[in-house]
Amino acid sequence: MTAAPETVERESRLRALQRFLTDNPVVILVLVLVALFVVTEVVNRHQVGEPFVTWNQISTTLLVAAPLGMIAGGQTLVMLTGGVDLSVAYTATAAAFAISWQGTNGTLEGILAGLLVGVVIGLANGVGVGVFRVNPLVMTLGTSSVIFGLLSIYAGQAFEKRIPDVVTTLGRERFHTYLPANTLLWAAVAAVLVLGLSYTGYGRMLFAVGDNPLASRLAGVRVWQVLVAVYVLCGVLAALGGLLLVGFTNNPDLSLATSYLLPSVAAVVIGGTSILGGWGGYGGTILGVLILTVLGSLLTLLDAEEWERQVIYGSIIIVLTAIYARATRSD
Amino acid sequence: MTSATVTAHEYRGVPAWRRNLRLHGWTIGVWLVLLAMVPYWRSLSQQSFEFDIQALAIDALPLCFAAMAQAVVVISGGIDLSVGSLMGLMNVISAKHMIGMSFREAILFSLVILLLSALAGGFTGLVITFTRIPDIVVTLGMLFVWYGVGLWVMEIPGGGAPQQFYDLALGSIGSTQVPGAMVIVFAALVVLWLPIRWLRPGLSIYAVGSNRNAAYLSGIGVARTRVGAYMLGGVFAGLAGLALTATAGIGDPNSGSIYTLNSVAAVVLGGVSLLGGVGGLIGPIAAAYILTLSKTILLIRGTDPNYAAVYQGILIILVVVIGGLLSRKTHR
Amino acid sequence: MSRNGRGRGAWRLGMLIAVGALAVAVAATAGQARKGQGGYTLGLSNTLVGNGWREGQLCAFKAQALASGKVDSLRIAHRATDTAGQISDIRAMISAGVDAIIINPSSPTALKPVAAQARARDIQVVFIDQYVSAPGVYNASNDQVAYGRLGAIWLFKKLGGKGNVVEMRGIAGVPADTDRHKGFQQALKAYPNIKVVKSVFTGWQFAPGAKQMLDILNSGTQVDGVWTSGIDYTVVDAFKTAGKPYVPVVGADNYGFVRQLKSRFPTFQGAAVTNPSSIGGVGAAQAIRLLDGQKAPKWIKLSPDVWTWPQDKASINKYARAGAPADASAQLQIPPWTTYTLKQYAACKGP
Repeated sequence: MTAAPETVERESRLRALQRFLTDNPVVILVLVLVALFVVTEVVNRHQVGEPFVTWNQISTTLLVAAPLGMIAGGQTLVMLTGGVDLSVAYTATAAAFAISWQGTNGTLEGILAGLLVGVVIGLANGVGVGVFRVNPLVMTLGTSSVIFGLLSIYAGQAFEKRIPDVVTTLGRERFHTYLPANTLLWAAVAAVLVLGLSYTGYGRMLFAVGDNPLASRLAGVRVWQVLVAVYVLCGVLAALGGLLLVGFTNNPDLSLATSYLLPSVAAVVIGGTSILGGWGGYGGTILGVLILTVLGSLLTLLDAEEWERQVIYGSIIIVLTAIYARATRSD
Repeated sequence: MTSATVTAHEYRGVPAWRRNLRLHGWTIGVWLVLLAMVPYWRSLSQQSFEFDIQALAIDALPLCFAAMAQAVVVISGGIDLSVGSLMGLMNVISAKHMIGMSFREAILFSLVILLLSALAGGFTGLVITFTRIPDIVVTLGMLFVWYGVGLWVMEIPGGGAPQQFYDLALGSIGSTQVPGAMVIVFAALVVLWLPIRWLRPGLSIYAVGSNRNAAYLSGIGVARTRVGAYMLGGVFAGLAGLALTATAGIGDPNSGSIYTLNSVAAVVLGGVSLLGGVGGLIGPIAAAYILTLSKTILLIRGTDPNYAAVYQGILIILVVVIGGLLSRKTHR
Repeated sequence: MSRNGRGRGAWRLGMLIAVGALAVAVAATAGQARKGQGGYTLGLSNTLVGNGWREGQLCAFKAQALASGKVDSLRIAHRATDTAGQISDIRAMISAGVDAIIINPSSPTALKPVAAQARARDIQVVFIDQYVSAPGVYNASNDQVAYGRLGAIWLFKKLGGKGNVVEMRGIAGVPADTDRHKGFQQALKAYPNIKVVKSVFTGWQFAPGAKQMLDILNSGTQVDGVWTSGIDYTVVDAFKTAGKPYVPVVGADNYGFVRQLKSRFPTFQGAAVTNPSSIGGVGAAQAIRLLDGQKAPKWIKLSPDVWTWPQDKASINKYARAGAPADASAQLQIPPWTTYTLKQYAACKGP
């Protein structure tokens, strides 16, 4: 008799904990990230005899993560509206090429050209999805195909390239030995995204559109405008990611950002943003990006084969989405 | 989930007979476009008709099967982003083991490959129906998984198959004007798809694809049907992998990567609605030939064949925009 | 009835637009038709795009075709694709009636049947950059086994025969990568205390190669030296980015790397093994000579050199042009085969 209320209480506490964690996936993600750091530290000490968690290492992790952080930022916004942007990788690559081609004319021309590429591609995607209601998957696959074809054509014709010094500084230099320049830019963008999503009307509209586009329209939201703006933002963020990447590698090539496409989706999914829209945020994505980056280091350290890496990434996406789906459904 | 079904409802409610009309109209139209391209292509070519038709049939063979795989899944209301990496996996498994085999053994092993790919497709379908995660996420995850397994089977491209196996795809049947590769596509269509299409399982696939709730209420096993569609898609992806082995002559774990995008393109151009329940496999086959032929024509003319990717992207978007506008118009 | 009519009209509209789009697609890029019987038509098939070396190969091919004065038109398939795609490109060139096809192969074996199809139609076939052995075909390429061996020997000697080495290969399964790896292994046999801690495929792309190096450095793995299959200068930069001291790196004669050898000495030391992209021009010259009915060597085999600073100051100073793209190959001429001017090469325009 006395046991019953206790069990109930324990159960409700458990439920409260579950609810807390469901509402704040960031807490779990921070724990996962810390755990990953600890495991990597142990493996590194065991294998190399040196600590992994040093200021230099953390700084390098941030430097490696920043381009993905940018690209995944745009992906987060799009996925909040219930879409997906599969053109982010080629948008980033196209921006990188634009920067290096126009960079021969001047620094400002180069950077502006890169951002303009992001705006144009984003606008095309946004108009297709928002105005003509093309399925986001098909729309962005279509634009990917177009960008890829155009890049293949022009990469074989335009020979002169120059990456502006500002871009290389942003892409790979560090201030005070440990503060990567690209991380500063990332932090600024992150602040805008996190605050913008929580505290601006546009941010709230974005959630509303993702949650229920029909209801939003009935409530007077101009859904198409919201969508066009989201895809343009996503294009610009992808272009910024391309800028950081080309600054880092000092050379654009066709596969510059292809390896970032699926991780950008994975980071968002790990971060707890629902692919169905209306739920999530950029805070989780940042942690998703860091988790993927540290996991990459760990797998390299463990001498994991490429195939193991691929299988692990794929499984993470499916398993985590299943867990999130279950957690939110039980509410 | 709810938002997805609401948007789906918006586009439905069109009477079946009218959708059928549009569906068949589109299929006939796509075939006419293909036929219209042939004289232009032949006028540019310096080779015999036999050589050209053979080349087209061989080049398009893997894409034809990839398009069929994608079409079955899309008709059932899903989408399979893992088609390319699954066919890449089947390509390396077959090329790795067939190299020392006799023709008989290779044919038997092909059946094993088809069984494996059916199971792989079924597994994807099971994960989707069991976890109730959207198709796009699961198949995105499976894209990594199959690609990884493919790398595990064979990291460095190689392997092969017996000559007679190559000849199945590279040779001709009866007259030299009838390429084996084209016969295989239609044989697969007749043997694998038409019986299903006209019997109960096919009806279920279309019903589930066009309205999952209504299908459920009318007593159709929705989960079973969806898993079945993914299994059938898996069989076609397996055929596509075998086709890659026969046409490229080797196994390459990366070779499937381009086919996911191209299969979606062929399906969309072939008149299959991405909302599910509309279209068939005959249209996507024609679209696969058109996509292959347009690249060949560009190259023969001396134009940069990379333009094919540009046109393909624009065409997919245009077709979907037009399709959307039409269904919105008819809905009102 | 009216509903029926509207449905059909809608369908017609859709088809009209689809056909129209195709027609525009085809018409918009009208190329020039083949002129008479005077000149030759050459085809080039290449499956890796966006890497400066391959762009250099393309420009050398075009420039040589132009400079020869004997080529009327080109059929160029310079696109990112796989082996099946390359085979289909070559078949399209056969359909186009080319007189010779120059191929940078994506497989040592898979292109043999289509090469035989071309030979059966009396089309000359020249494999460039990567050696392929097949009846009736010609080759123009570096001795890639020696390329792998020479660079590796320099590196292992530099490390005093002991240490952790990273091997950064090219594209899995293509002939040049297999040959270079063979050479690398040959060199490794003589140095039992050299340990290969990591062997990765860069896909011959500079950006992913740099990221792979950064990942390796970021994981804390001890690296004493790096052998690269030509993805060099971004790998060197990765050390700077990771905040780690430079180790000896073997690269190719790319402008970016050659400039690093010169400007970062002595904190950074490396060796450039030559592999000129102007081989594209050699392939064209060889094909033209064959079409003229003259004899040409079955395999124009280049022997790679190893350049280090300051020992090979002369060569490096000659090629370390400031302003040239970092990912392009430094040697622009291969005498006596290439006869184009540097202006023609830079213009990158064919006949």
